[in-house]
Amino acid sequence: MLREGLLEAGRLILSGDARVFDAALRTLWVSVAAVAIAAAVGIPLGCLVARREFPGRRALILCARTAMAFPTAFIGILCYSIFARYGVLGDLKLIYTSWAIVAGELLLALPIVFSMTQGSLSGLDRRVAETARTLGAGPIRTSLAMLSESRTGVLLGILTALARCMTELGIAVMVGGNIPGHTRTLAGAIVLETSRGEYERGLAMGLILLLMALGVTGILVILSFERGKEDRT
Amino acid sequence: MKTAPRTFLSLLALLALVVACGGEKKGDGTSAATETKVVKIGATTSLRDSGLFEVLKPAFEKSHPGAELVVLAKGTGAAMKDAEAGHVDILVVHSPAREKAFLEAGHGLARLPLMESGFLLVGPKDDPAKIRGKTPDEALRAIAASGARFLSRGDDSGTHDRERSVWKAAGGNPGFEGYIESGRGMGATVTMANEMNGYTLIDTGTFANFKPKIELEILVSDHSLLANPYHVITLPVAKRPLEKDPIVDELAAWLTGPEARAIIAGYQINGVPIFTPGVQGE
Repeated sequence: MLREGLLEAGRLILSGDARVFDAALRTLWVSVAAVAIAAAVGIPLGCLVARREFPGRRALILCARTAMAFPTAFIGILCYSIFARYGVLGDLKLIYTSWAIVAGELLLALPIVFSMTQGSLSGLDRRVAETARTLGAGPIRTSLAMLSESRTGVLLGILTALARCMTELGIAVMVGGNIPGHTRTLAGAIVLETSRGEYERGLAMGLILLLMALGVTGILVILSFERGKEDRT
Repeated sequence: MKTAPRTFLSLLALLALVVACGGEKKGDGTSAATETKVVKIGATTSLRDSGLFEVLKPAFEKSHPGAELVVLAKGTGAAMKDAEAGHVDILVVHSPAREKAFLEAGHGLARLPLMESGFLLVGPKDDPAKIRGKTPDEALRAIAASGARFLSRGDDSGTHDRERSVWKAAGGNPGFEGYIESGRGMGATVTMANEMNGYTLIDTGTFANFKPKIELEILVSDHSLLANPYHVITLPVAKRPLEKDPIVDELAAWLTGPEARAIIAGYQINGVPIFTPGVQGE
């Protein structure tokens, strides 16, 4: 069966199967959108929490780290109740749309990006911040210097968040509805093919999902490695 | 150290770029949505998994330009919850008792007979509980008494409802050692039954789909306890996402009309006809 799955994956990619392509593209843009928003919010927030003392700081860190273990099915049902037509945000008419999936995956990604940023910055030598300040850097430039020093950790956070978003199922099926051409992601397609007994197609789509993950990871890692080399010279 | 801002700016720019591509795609989607009306059918998974929806959809869309049919396939119970929540325009379900309760509670307007299929009791070829040729209730009693395995959906689907009513007819309690709830769809459940050498209750369509991949055989069929009628349920206008748009009632009429009847009667899986249009006695 595995061999047939591999062959089917090759065939689907080479023939440019419209449905697979559609699900793959949606998987990519939805998870990238969610992680981009999570990074835009989570990285600055992580810097702030790593550098400042304030009441409730430890509780916030604890909550964020616990939230990294949120099951996607729980986030799915949470978002379903929020975005349902008569739910709190029902008027946005987001239920069974891709944007509802983006919102759910944002909840999945934010604790990861935040915690990994905060964690890697906290682990830095205090002299990094002190040196930056001595060289006349303001608070923002000091944060950027610290981020640069801990970029591997921050990048890992982004990658982990992307990996979870691209492969998650609970959110996409519960608030997206697994509708072909509208809200179906690759993970949803795998479930459907399996429920129809099309195991080879299911395996094939799993392999395509892995290839996509490889591509995205590759791009991010290459970008950061090249910067790393420049730094060392 | 000066490269830090650039590293993160370039990463963010890259992310933004991919989102922009996706956003563009999304833009296409919304502009198309203003022209095409998306009609959401809340349905039992068998409508989708049998493949019947895939042949009904293009036929309806061809005779009703500007309409797009989508199916939200779930268990009958979950599909009805979706209807109560105002997420779907119309229902296609197969659990007569629940359907009547749904209408009595005022959640639905009308219940229209769509088509009929059957359930089957399938099991291992060597039939350890000796149920071949028995009536469905006798068969379940024999399975429980023999200590063989029985795989139940356990997911409040129409099929699970039916299984419970056959157990009721058998006067037996499904709480025996070999009774296993999969909590999964029909395909997953029959695959588990196949691997565990157990029995299960399954709809004709899913079994025809899986027949080439599994070794289980049909042991009990063609009995009134195993009839599987599907109904279309129309919903109050205020609960429909498309509200008073006439396309929803046109769909209800079309599904129960001659064109859909012909498609339903002609639909086969692996050479086996699965559905007969209309419901006997209604």
